This record gives sequence, structure tokens and C-alpha cells, in this order.
Amino acid sequence: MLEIRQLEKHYKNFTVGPLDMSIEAGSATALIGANGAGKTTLFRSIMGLISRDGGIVSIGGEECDPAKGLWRQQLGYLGDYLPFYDRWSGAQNLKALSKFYPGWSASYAAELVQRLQLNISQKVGSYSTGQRTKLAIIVALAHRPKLLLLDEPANGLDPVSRDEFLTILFEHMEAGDTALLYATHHITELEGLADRLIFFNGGHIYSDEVKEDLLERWRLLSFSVDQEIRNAPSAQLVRSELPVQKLISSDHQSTLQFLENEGVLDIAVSRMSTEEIAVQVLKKMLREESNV
Amino acid sequence: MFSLLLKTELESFTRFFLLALAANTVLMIWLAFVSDLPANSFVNGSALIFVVFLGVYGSEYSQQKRERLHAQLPVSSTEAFFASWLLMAALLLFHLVLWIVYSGIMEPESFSVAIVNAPEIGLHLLVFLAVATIGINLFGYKPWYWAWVYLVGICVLVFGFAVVDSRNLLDLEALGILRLIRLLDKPWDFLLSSLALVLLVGVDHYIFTHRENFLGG
Repeated sequence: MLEIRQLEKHYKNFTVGPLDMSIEAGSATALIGANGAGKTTLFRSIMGLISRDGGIVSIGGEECDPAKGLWRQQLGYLGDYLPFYDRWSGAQNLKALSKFYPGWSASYAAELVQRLQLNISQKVGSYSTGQRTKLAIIVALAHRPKLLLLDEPANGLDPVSRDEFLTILFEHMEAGDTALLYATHHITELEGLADRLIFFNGGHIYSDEVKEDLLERWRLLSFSVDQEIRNAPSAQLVRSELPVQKLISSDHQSTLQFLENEGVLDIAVSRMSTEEIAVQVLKKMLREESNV
Repeated sequence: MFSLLLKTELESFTRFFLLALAANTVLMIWLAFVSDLPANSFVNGSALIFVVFLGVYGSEYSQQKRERLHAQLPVSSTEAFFASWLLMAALLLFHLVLWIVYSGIMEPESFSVAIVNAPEIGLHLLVFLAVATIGINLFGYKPWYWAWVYLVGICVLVFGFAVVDSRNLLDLEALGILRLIRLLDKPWDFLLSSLALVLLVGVDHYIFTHRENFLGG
């Protein structure tokens, strides 16, 4: 659905790319990275909000050229700023914007308004950040786009609205073959939704993993030993209060093999959540960056 | 999509037209019944109202990041550019009609002159507008110093005109918009202004569509 080839964007002190990425129809991809990793620049480049210094972006085979524009009908975008006609009410905005999208469903939009409890008779200029986000979510979803680009969409939403939004998003993804690219710091938001995690750092893809593979490989290992074990493969020592020692392994099979060879017995193996794994990957990423 | 964008922008702009109509009506009544100023002062005053409303519109366009909104909609950068331009031209056209109507009521004897003069002044205002929007759009264009080169160039040009024409730097009116309009009026005829306008809008379009970003103000 989304194809990115050799995308480049240069700033004075920062460069994104060259970047290759593809997102399949019906898949949900989480884009995870620290602040300043280049996630927003990537989204803006895809949308054509900023010029690209190289590369091609296409959606459904159609090149995303800002000089054209109709390709945006296939796209639902929620960015870092949510522009609207501020002097109009939410309802007036929805009515005006709906006309740009042939696939707009008025009944679905009304359902979203009701579920997100948005007062659309109020002027958008007087909306809070959370209310603007809700309106942007409705605009992004109501035309049932083929691709959803959501850049930290839950920011500004209260916990109840965030939960409702994630339920809506889950249902939306279940109902069709929409491709989703979702940038976030809060990986728990995507725990049940994402099937792929892309870790982004310094304008580049650090790692691109299928979530199930990650969940299968990563484990927390606890055991008792007399002497500290520091050189276990694919493992990071997280706690060592001898005799108790805890390791996080990114490939628990090889780590377990090593520990067994070292004569370690009674190893407790625990699964890790996506959030816990993501935090470890991010830490590793930052450690490597500071070592460079 | 262009007509849809233009219609939406016009709808969002309706109150500007109503406010401009109200301001012009007040000016008209004041000139007709209260002031001793000549009837042709209406065109000058109304031109000023046009420029003020244009400034208010520009400020709102920037504050609401309308450029960014357009860049997120399924419209091309060319469509977004011409929608904004046509909107400004529509506001001007609205004023031109008012000038002609006013002249027809207040100075029926010079009505035929007004019909010729109003579009010419309108054209000069559009040239002025094109010069201004090029400057604004250059601020989003790479390399960044072009905007400042352009700004300084225009200032030197305007100041030069004012000095040559007035030979008096203390003549503040010489630096004003009304003076500039009159200066433009003198050397160029209708055709030359039209050509200048087409050229400037073309340059403005090129700059706008080749901007570094469409993130808005």
C-alpha cells in the first residue's frame, strides 16, 4: 500500500534517510523512536507537507506528488498540528471537509462524533487540544482511507477518550484492509493492534521486526548463581544481587544454551510485553548512539 | 477539486465581504452627507479598506495555518495557490464594483471615466499584491536569503521612487500606499500592468509550488 524508496530529507544538523519502507494493506505498523528521531519528518515527507531531497513515495501505486493532490483521498492523516477552519463549528468543518472525500460516510462520522463525545456545535477555535484531536480523528477515519498515517494521535486525549479511540481504531482495522503507520512513544497503545514494529533513530530505521517474532525471542531470565555472569550472548544484565541474577535476552534460546553450558540450573523464564521489549530496544539504540 | 476548494474558501471568507461592505457603506454615507471631501475620495478610502481587510485575511490565513490545511486536503499546490489568489481578487472585484456604483450615484457625469479608472486602479492593486505575496512566499523558499534580497530590493525601489518623485524625504505621504498607487498609475498603461501582473503571478506560483514546506505561518 505504502512504498517508500530512497527517501531523503536534509536539514542543517539532521538527515532523514535514505529510507526504504513498505507497508502492506491490512497491516498495522508502529513507528517507535525517541524525541527527535525523525518520525514527524517522515510523516510530513510522505504527506508532501515538506519537500523531499530525494526518493519516491507512492500509495497504492500512485506517486505522492504535492503538485497533484488527489492521492490524498486514499489517506487519513493526523499530524503534529491539526489545522481547521477555526471560525466554523466542528459540524461546519465536517460538512465542508467531507466534500473533498468521495468515500466519506456521514453515518460513520456521526457515530464517531457520538463515541468520542465531541461537541460539534462549538466553534473549533475554542476547542481544547483534545477536542481538536477528536475532530482530526473523525476527519481521518470517516472516509475509510486505504492508508492511515497517525503521528502520536492519542496525545492530548484524556484516558477515557484514548481508550475509546483505540477501540475505534481496532474496529476500523478489523473491518477493512486499511494499512496503518502509527508513531508513538506509548507502545501499550498498540499492544493488541500492531503486527510490526519499526524502531527509528537518527533518521534511519534501526530495526524492523514482526511483533510476534520479537515476543517469541525476548525473555526475562532469572536464576541463582555464585558468581556474576556478564558475557551471556544476546543478553543484558538487569539485576545482580547475588546469588539472584536477572538477564533480559533478545534471543533466549541462545542465552539459555549458554547458561546451561555454564551449569546454571533452575532458570525462570518469563515472557515480556511489547512495551518492555520496546523500552529495551530503545535503550540499546541510545547506548549504541552514545558510543558512536 | 479546485472549484470545491474555492467555494469552501469563499464561504469561510463571507464575513470579510460583509464587513468590507459595511465599512464601505459607512465611508460612502460619510462622504455623501457629512464630509466636504471630494466625491473621488471614496476610491482612496475604499482602497485603504481593501488593503486593511487583505491584511486581516492574511493574518487569519497564517494564524489558522490555512496553507497547511490545504496541503493536507486532496488538492494540488497549484489549486491551493490559485484559490487564495482568486479569493483576494474577488475581494478586490467587490470593491471595484462598489467604486463604479458609487460613482454612478454621486458623479453620474463622470461615470464613464470611473468605469475605465476603477479596473486600472484594481489592476495596480493586484500588481502591488503580487509583489507582496512573492515576498511572503519567498520566506518559505530555499535558499533563505532570497527573501531578504527581495525585501531590500523592493524597499530600495519604493524609497527611490518616493525620493525621485517628491524630492523630499520628509514627505511621509510619498512613502504611503496611496502615493505608490498613484506612482504606478503614471508611467504604465493598462496593458503594461496586465503583463506585469501575469509575470508576477507566474513567478509567485513558481515560488509557492517549490516551497521548502507547506506547514503554514
